[in-house]
Amino acid sequence: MTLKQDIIEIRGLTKHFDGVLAVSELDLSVPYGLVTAIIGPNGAGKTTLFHMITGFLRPDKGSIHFKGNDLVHCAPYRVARLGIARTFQDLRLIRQMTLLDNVLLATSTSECEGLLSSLRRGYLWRVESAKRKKAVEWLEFVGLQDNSGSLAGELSYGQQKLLSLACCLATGAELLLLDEPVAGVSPTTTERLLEYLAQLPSLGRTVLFIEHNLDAVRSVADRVVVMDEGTKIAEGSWDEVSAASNVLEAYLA
Amino acid sequence: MEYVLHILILMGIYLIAAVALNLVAGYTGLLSIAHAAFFGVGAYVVALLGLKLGYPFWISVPCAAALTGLLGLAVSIPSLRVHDDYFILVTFGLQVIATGVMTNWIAVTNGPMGLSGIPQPVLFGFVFDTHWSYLALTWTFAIAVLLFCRNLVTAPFGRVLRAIREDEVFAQAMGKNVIYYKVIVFAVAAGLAAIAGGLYASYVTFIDPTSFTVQESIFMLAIVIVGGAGNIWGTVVGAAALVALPEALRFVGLPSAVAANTRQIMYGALLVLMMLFRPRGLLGEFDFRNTRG
Repeated sequence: MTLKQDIIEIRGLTKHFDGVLAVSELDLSVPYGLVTAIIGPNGAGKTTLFHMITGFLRPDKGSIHFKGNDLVHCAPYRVARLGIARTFQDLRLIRQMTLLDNVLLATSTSECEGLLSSLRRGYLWRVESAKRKKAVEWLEFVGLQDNSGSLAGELSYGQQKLLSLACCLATGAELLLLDEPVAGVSPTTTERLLEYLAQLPSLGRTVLFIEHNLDAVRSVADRVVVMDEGTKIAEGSWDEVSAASNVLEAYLA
Repeated sequence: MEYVLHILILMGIYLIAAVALNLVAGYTGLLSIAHAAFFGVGAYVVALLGLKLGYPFWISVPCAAALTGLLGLAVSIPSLRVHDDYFILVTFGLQVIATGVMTNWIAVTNGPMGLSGIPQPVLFGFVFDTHWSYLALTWTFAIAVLLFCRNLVTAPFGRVLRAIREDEVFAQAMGKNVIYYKVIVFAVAAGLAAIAGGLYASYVTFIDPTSFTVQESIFMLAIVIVGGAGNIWGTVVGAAALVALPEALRFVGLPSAVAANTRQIMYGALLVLMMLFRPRGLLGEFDFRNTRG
């Protein structure tokens, strides 16, 4: 695997929380255009890793490079603007806004969201109607177009997960970090979500996702990374990883 | 009749201040209790520019708005580093400092004695010295400010504010520079409050620190909450209701000394009742009890 093909490159990443080593000397490369899964027992440091990539946590040590940009000192909004979108384990959305407004929020760029552009009604109307069309397309992609006017908080849990995927896609980000995309979701919605995930590489997106549902990982991941106690213990295809003896040990321990 | 006009003028002035506060508290979810401080700074700047430098109303009001907006910008940067309850405490501190300066910087503000003889607005030789003319002036400003704020909140800018109010972390993950929005909205609200303050000073022609205390801040917040946080038109209803309410007390025959105290009790009781039974206010969309950091 050459350097050029990696969208994100992490070297020696370390993070402590009050003496507890959450992530320790982690090296990880994520290749372009693939779906990579991160699995591992609870407390392996998977979500901490996501927080560090997206700027919500500062690492103690190590480097994170995304398409040549150093992310370690980037604020979360800058990371997002560089082209990394993420979902959260505890499902964050704007529940008091409609589905369409949630996706529009994700679609919009900073130019039309400034104070002064608020006063240019004609310009905004043009920009917004173009964006609305795009936003509706993303809602269609995840099959939520019929609910576009309802409040996000009125959706079922599974639909909210679909909406947060639509928001990530609408940002135009090249790299999507999904934290447990199918956890707590009904089997039918899980199938739908996995089907959409599998399509993302053909839309030019790279996916890195954390998941405990191993059936889901097996069916959709091109590559699997196994973490335990803050480090990577195995990496490769599902078959390679599931055959590794240290992976079994980590899960049984 | 003049009495009714007087009430309507005050409604317009407090409407401007409260709509501005709604941007901060209602739309962005930042409960500030320093708003009367900005209202007061605006009033003092307009009064002093008029009294000491002879500036006309039309120049001193934009100056006051710009200066107070910059002040809002400056104080928002440290105060926005804290969240929720701590933010309320920081704005309370700012309010106390502002009242302290107005009361004690006697060389400039004349302290508790206040400033009197503030010039009234003049336009092409026409003096706004009657209730009717001042009513027209105030409501022209009020409508302009309402339209300005409506434009802000219906634009994508307003969508970002609401997103910040509901879930800052999500807003950041979607690429929004949360600090920028908070600072900008705080400065704009301070500038608009200064316009209201300038109108107030030029209307009553006498100001002293008692008009700009924390109780006034809470009164403005009560207008926003009663009318409905996050709804511009709710603030119109709130301003009308809360400015008229104490006046209604006069007609039930309470002596004015009692009525003044009853006023504070009523505002307090109204806030408690609203929080318990209708936290969204009369027309609002935002429930202060359901935020998420």
